Amino acid sequence: MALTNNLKKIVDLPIFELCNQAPTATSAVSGTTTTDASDGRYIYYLVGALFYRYDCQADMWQQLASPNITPATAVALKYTTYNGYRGNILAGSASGATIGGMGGYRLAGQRIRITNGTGIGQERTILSVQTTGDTLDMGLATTASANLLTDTTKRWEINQFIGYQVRLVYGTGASQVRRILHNDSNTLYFYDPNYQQLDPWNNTPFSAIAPYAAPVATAGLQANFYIEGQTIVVDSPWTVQPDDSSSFCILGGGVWLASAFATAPFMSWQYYDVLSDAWITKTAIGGLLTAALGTDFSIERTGEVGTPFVSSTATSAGARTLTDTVQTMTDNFYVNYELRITGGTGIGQKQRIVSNSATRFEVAKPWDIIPSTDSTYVVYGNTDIVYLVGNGASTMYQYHVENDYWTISEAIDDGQCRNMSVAYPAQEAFAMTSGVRNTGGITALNATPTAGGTGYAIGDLFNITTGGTVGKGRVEAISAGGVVTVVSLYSSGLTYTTGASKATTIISGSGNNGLTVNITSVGTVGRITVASNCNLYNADPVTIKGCTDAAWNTTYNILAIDSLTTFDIIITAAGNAAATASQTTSIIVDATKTWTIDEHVGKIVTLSIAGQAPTTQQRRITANTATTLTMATIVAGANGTSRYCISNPEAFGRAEQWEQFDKRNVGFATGGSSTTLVDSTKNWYVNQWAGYKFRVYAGTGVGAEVTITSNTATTLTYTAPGFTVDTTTKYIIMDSFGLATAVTNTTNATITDSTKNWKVNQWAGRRLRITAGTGIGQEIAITSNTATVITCTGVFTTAPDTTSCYTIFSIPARSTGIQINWIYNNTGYRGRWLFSTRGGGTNVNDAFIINESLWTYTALLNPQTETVNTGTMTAYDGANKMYLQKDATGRIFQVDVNTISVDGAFQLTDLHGAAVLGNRMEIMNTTDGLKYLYIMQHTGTKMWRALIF
Amino acid sequence: MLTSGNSFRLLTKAEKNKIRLSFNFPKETLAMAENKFETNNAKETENKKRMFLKLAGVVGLSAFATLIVPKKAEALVFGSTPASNVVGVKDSANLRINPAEKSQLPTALTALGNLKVAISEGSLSVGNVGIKKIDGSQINPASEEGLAAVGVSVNDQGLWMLRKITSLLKPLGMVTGAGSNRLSVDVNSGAITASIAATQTLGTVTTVGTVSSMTNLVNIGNVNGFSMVKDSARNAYANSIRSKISF
Repeated sequence: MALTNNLKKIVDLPIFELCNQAPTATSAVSGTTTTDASDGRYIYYLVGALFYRYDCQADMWQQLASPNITPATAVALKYTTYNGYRGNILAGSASGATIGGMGGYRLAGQRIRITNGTGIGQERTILSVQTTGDTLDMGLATTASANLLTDTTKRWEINQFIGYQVRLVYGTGASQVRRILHNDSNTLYFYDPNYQQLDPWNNTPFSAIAPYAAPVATAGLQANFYIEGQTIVVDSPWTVQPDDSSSFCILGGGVWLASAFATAPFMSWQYYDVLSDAWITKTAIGGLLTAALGTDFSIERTGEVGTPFVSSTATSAGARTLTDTVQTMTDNFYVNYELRITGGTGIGQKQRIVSNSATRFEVAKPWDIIPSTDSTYVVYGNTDIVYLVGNGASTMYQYHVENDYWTISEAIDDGQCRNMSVAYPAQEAFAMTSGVRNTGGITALNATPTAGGTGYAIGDLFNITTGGTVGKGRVEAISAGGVVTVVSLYSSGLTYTTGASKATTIISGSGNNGLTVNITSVGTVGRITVASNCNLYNADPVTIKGCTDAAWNTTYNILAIDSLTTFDIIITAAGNAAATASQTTSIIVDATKTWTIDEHVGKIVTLSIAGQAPTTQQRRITANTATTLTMATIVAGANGTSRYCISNPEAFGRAEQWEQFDKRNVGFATGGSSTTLVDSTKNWYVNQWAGYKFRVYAGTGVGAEVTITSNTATTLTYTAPGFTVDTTTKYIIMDSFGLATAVTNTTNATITDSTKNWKVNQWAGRRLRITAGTGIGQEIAITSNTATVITCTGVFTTAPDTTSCYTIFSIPARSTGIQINWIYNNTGYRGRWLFSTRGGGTNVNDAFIINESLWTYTALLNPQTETVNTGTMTAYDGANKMYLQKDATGRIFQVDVNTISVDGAFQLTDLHGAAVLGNRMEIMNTTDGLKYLYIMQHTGTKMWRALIF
Repeated sequence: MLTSGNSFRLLTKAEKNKIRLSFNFPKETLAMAENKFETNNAKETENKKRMFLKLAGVVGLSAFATLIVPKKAEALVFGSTPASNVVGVKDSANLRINPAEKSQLPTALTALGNLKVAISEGSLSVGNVGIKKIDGSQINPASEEGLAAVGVSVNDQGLWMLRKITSLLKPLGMVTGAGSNRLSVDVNSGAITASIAATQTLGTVTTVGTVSSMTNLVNIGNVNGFSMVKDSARNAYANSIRSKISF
């Protein structure tokens, strides 16, 4: 039945209902969040170390798992609907799969999406889940921690259980379930710091927070565990059946949580998975922060909420482009949105859009599979992004969900330091430490031994001692009395000859050494050592890159694997593997990349150590090859453990020297030559940009950084950079960011950039951040400026130098009372804005323009006299209204996000307690189309709700 | 008190045993008494009187001391250890009296015998018999006649309180014209300001004027205050909002 609403304006007044009280009173370290579209059942509420959810149907509170790291100072939370329980497919079937799926029926009815590997991009509904799962093995821990379980009685194959789950069924830690990252002969691993970049969603240790506990091996308390997998059935057969190269995400939702941490990395960043009721510690901002996150801060995600902004079929595509001739898009309207291939060639790929014209998209990185005319696509908000603002600063941070890292500008690429690499299909590559060429390696071991000996057990390892060295085998089957009936090759060794009756000595177990084996063949074998524990399995296909000898750079099947870091392959190369390039104090190498020469010059590279609390170094890239980045001196990255990301040089929210539309510094070329760029939409002052540099964001010349020698009203002139612009060339002139050409740091520091020609004191009062080089991360106020010199207020703690890059921000520092909301579904510029209160007792609401990465800082509310400070809370209704509760007054305004007009909405007649930081106001949409506003009491346990009508 | 010699009553053996059990006399004392009962009749009455005097003296002193002396002191006074059940009499030199040796009263009261009962200047005095304090020193009746002066263990708190109350009431005391004493109590005609501690309970209050603020009304008539407000708000919602929406 359709909704009938007979409520009349003025006749009927809003009424607040009291909801049942929260179990714990609100404080500065508390906040709430709900689903992206505000259409769920729960409001999630975190206060200190306690986490609850309010059930809007039952009017009651339920406690959930506490975060791994106890929040401090303040918190910011945001629910993400389009994320959830992740893992790897263990085996596929026509209408289902085997996964580590928690067991029970928790996953039934959920949507499962194949996110990587075979079958990528498919989405189905899970109809049923095997209740108890198949128990592959069970054990009793002899060594245990949050990160691993060892049972010394086991003789497992290397990585035979990757992706399966372990259930602790008894002893300390019982009731927890975690997926296995990798395993050796007797140990299961659940967390590895190097996997934060390699596989961040399958890298979760056991929780040690009550009521859970990390497993132990103490007698009487030792963890009793099962190794399990579950079979799921989906609602319709797969178009492409997933396999063990496939990763999945079950869209059960999650919650992002940012909070302060007193010492480096100065913040905690955690993710709560709703389906498994488990927190995952993610990588913190790290070196981009110089002190503990503080003052007040807020986070916001973008995503696929609502209908797509664009939905159609490609008419053509290129290495980084997709063209759809039926479109009539506004230039650059969808920059920083996400382009997804939803069907046909290239299905499942998603990329950040870096430019769009009327009919053409360009994306940040080359496609793995270039879409075709059968490729359907959509444009959504970018699900790979979470923004963070506040911290008493002008800097905005951006978190990248899929690969788990932070930037302060648009990200271009990321990876791991890898001199040489070895990769399983569709997975991140492992760094290779060495590839040693061995002749006479065993390439085939007859499964049937010559003599079976006695006393052996399945899984026993043995050395093959006749005719060669370090060859090993494994017992695969025995008969009565421990007589070996089947063996396998465990390590190839070297200098062997073929033949039967090769003697063995047992490595582990009680065999009588009477086992002799038959070497079927020998050959040239490559002994590979990787830099970190791998999750490769015997016979897996792997591809090697980065070796000087091209014979190494091909695909192999693993011949034998005898540890988490060593395995053998059959090779044809004539010598040992040698890396084309290695990590140095000025070079980062990633052998997996195929960059265009110098496409990254002028961008910022951030180098991080492994783990969730990284220290980082930032440098301006001065050159790049296909696999290397060159920069000023750094502490060299570590092969196989250090991570890096590449981002644009201008920080989010840069100032603009000229804001008039026809004087601005960005646009598309409308024509040009090898030495000129013409933009006929401009009306620049003559030589307004002389001496400046421009960068090519997209299109022909992408990545170039060119010095302008002169300009007319529409034309920039420069020395030939080696390319000729065309109408795909999108450019930005470096007006408020660049590289310092001189620095002083006494009394009031000065930054000189001789390429600039600023108006005197146009930056006075603004703020500047060192974005790379020496002094990274410092933000400082500007007192005054000349044409080329900025004078700061005071000095930097760490003096910048001529390696230091900077960005001048448009907005003042954020303060207490700051909130941020993505306006994703308004009538006007839909999905284009992030609205943010400035806080600190100001009356301003700034708006971040997503497609330009700029702040509109004069977006005046009307009327605008109300100021906001600590206690201010906001909520977006998913349409054209944003609600704003001032301080702790209980007065709630309604902001029309299209007209920016402000009207009254509600006023609480009950009272708040003392105003505290944090957002605890949400809007919940019912399935019938009603909207309720929920608001929690400051410093209290009450929650009210009112119908919006 | 004995009124005459006829007051004495003959004791049977069983009755003597009762006395022994009751007072725990030393065996020597009882044997002496039994022996004397078996003498000729002429002396019998006199001997019984003498014996009775001995016994009465001892019993009287014992009973008196039992009343006024603490238990531990009792034992010390009577020459035995606190753990002993044997009671004896000591002489002035603090030596125990042996009834076998000192059981005869002198024929004439003027002649002092071993009992050291002296009659002097027409008065009967037990010159060397006294009561000791816990510390073993003898109580001096001249200066230590009050119970309080005897020691803390016998200090009567009630007596002290009584003195204190009397002292406090003294300002209220007045003498009437007839010379009688009485207490005068003033009538408070001003307002009384009530102050209730957080954890106290206020019983019935007839009228409450203005309550400036009440920060937390937990219960009203055993009904949770929050629930009452919540229910009220929900009723308002149901009547004003929900009733105008249909699906």
